[in-house]
Amino acid sequence: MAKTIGIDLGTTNSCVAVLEGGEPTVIPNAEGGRTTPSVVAFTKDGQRLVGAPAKRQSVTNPQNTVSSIKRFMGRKFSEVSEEMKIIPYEVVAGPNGDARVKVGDKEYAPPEISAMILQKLKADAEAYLGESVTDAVVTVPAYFNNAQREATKDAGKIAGLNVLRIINEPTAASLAYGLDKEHDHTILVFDLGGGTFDVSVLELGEGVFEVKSTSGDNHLGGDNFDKAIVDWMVAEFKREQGIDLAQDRMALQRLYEAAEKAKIELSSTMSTQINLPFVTATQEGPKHLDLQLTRAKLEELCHDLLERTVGPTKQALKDAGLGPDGIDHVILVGGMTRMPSVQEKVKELIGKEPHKGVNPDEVVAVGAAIQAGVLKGEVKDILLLDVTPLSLGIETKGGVFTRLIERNTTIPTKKSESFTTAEDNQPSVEIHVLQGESEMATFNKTLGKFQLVGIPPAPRGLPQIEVAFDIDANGIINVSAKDLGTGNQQQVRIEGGSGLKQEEVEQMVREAEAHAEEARKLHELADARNQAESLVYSTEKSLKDHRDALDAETIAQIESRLEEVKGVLDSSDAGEIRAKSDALMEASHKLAQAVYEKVQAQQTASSAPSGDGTAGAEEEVVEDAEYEVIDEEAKQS
Amino acid sequence: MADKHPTKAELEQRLAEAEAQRDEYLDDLRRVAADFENYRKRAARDQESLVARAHERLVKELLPVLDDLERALEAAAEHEEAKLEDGVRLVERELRAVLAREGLVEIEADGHFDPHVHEALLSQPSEAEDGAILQVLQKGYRLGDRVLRPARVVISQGMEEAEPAG
Repeated sequence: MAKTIGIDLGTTNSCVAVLEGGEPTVIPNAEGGRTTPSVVAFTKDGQRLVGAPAKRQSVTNPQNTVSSIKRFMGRKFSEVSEEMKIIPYEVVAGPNGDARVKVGDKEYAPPEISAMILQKLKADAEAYLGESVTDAVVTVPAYFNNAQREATKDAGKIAGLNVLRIINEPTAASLAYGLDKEHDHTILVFDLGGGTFDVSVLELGEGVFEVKSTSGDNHLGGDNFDKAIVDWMVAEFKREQGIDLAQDRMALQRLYEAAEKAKIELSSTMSTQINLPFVTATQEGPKHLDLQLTRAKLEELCHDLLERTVGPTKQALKDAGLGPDGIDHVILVGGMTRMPSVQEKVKELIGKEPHKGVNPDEVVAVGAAIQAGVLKGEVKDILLLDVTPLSLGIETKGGVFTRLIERNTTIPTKKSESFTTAEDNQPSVEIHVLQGESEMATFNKTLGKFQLVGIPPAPRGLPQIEVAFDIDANGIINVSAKDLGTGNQQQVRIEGGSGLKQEEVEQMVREAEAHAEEARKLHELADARNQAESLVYSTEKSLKDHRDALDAETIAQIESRLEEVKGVLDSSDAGEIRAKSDALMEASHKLAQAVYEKVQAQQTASSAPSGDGTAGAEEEVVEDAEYEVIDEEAKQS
Repeated sequence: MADKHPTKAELEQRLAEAEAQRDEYLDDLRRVAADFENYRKRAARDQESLVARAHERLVKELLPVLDDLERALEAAAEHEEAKLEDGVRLVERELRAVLAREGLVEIEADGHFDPHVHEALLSQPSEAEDGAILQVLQKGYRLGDRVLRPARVVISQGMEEAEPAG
């Protein structure tokens, strides 16, 4: 079945996404970018360029490079005098009074230019998906009037796309955050893009979004912020070196790149170093730019720009007839909203933590793709699959929590793993089913316990017990334990294991984090103890088997070290246990050596392979750490 | 006739069978969908760790270059400038070699302007033909078949436009 793509046809950048296996994926363009500049150029040799290549040649060919075409979509020539001042290409009146772009001696209606962008997005999506694409959902600003929406639809038609639906950008962003699944509420979408600022208030009722109000500033965006930083750098450099970098195109280019980088870095750090060696040269030699930009300074530089978002936001609230406390959700759109001071401004205005998680450059396209999936029937309730909110597993030797199913695994799912006994002739094992994120069972939540009895007498480590977890679509967990030797099986059914509230899950994850260090130490101790115990076990066994091959001194040394290890088994110092274990291991190497020598002597004497298997017995001295051992029962008895 | 008009009991039995089959199929479908979902998550995790490891290899290869650069600077502090130039040249050569091994190729910029691989920062009148590259301000690079960064260039406007109003 052909895919339907979701397209965010933006003023400065456009983005396209698609649902794959029910999940939205942003489609990278042919150049490898996840967004495509909304720029179309007509070169002197008659070529048409779209996207990054068009942007790259714009300085040499400004009159024939069309950017920001969205500002002219569906508008009359008489309405766009303000917009015309900021664009280098020519805009004329069409036969019906519509604004048209004049390139060379040809006139283009804005939908034709937009169609060229859509065509590229379509072609890139087809290359990515490996099949042809005809259907699309395209987004427009909430304030677009009918003529502007019709123009956008026309653009789709010209590009060979069947536009299933035109949806509002803030609605798409809300869909991307899954807000349509909640009950009636209000959403404020704060969209600070490359060149425009839009704020919208939406109301969701009966699964339908209604735009209550929109406001904004058509000439405020990331570009203004970048320019503020570059202006500061130029001023600083002029003050220090007396050179005006604003006259140097290459230097300016580097400054813009550095500003962009600094802005991103200051989202996570408090200060950044802007370092541009050889930024320019004078007769005295090369000059380097080396500036420190703090987050506080950045905020100061952007203060006025940020203040310009306040009025429209308040206006939108007022027009919607709401106060800040009337807003249930806040969504951020546009790359600029990554900036901490922008987020703080929004929080200050609305008093609410905004939703995060979806890339703000891509959130609108993602929402459009989700809408496309809904229209195509790809998003069906029947296959809305749940996930396990917390990891599931059992307790193994030493109180260690062994995970069988990781948290956030999509259900239904099934997983099994083999375990064994910890003691010789252990008659039963206890299966202690737990849920949680800690390494140690004691910090996790018990879901159930049961015994598997009737294990025939066998040396430890020999019986194979298969433990299987099966979670069905309703979150009901079936845990079974099967002795593969006898076929004996026991199981428990746990209901409501995933019926946890979000807060409970978060609480458990937080607790696991709080106990992480403690749990890690306990885990280490349990490992040390388990290894020491199995070392004692195997050493005692080989000592018994090969006593006659050893001299009294070696025997005495091994025995005394054995006692030392046994003496510290209950210690809570993992280091001590390991030290004694290492000493025992060293001594037992002599044991192994003695046994091998004896066997070899016998072999040379009789010059025939003895093949009695004694030589192999020593190999198991250490390392049965991979045996996950269950033995609550045996330890107690 | 009996076939055309099944009894109520028969219909009920068929319904029960159909319902049982439906439940079975639904369960199968859910399991396949969940398997796919988990596969997708695993693939994403694998991808992430792969990316991390890929960085690791490149960064490790760059460590000696960093060492050499440090040595060059140390040497410069002690000796005259010529040594620094030699040292830096060697470091540059080594860095270039490391990156070339990773597939880095310099974009040629000695012909005609091509917006797919070049970015025009300036255009100016000159005797060269229209669209010819006059100067490379910053080299561009390609990694495999992808343009990592276009070459930043100054291009010619040709002769005829070389009469800006005074």
